[in-house]
Amino acid sequence: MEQETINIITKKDSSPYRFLLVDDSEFARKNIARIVSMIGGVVAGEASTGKEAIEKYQEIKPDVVLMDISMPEMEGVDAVGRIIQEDKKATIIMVSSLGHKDLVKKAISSGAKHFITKPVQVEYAVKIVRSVLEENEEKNKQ
Amino acid sequence: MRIDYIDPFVESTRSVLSEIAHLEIKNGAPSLRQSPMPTKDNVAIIGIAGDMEGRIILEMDDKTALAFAGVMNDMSFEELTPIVIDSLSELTNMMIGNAVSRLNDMGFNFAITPPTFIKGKELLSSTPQVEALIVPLDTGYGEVILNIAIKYNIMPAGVTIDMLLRGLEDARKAI
Repeated sequence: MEQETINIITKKDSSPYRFLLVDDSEFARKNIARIVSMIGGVVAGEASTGKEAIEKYQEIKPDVVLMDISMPEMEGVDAVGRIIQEDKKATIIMVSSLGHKDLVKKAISSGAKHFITKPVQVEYAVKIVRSVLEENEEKNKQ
Repeated sequence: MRIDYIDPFVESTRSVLSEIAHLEIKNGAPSLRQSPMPTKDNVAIIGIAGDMEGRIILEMDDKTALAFAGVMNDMSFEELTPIVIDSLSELTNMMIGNAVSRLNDMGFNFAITPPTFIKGKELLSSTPQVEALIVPLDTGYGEVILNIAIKYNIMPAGVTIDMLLRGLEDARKAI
């Protein structure tokens, strides 16, 4: 039902956006992958720790990273900072069960573009991803 | 009386369970347990630190665990597979994460650990003797117990867990 009402989002050349999903929960990654698929994106890679996310980012150079916060080895906010250090244009959206204001501010100041709180509301998540991608397109035009 | 510490855990648990299962969740009568030792077979544990320290434990039996994992994954499960355990751990993470965020936005300072899922009996040797507040929830898929075993690092002088419990009971009656 939801798939029928959500418009697909693609790049200007009609190719799909490539996503890196970072979460220590396999269930959470599957759930986010379902949303990525609904908007016409593809999962280019997955990681279950912040450290693994940095390595995967360098390897696959995704268009968008959907990043959890509370993870073993290295937390999501620290991984955001490290990825942004290497690629200032990285598009990272946090997806976390933690969503208090101080943490959101910390994530944004580290370089994240937006914040989605779990449990993920499909329509809201799609709206956020779409708005971040549109904002990127606008910036690329300038 | 710092009922504001406890209430977000109960409300977030109800809210996330309700959203995941699309069911009305009803609170049972809260009670005190001298130890956080779980009474059900499956437990998901999240450590908590900051203004209070301890563990929040979600307890449920096999049937309830399989039912929740089933509705989360849109498929049925016959046993506790890795994806069942992962789903229930993530469910606990969402409940407690949401609660901690509410508390932190109220001006408190809490941090949580990633969840651990274990069989209840295995918890025996590692459970500290901390008094636990028990909140049973009727989920429609079976009873889920929220087991709050914490000590308050900044508890105001003269406030005890019994006072918190009475406050929770008053709040429950007021709903």
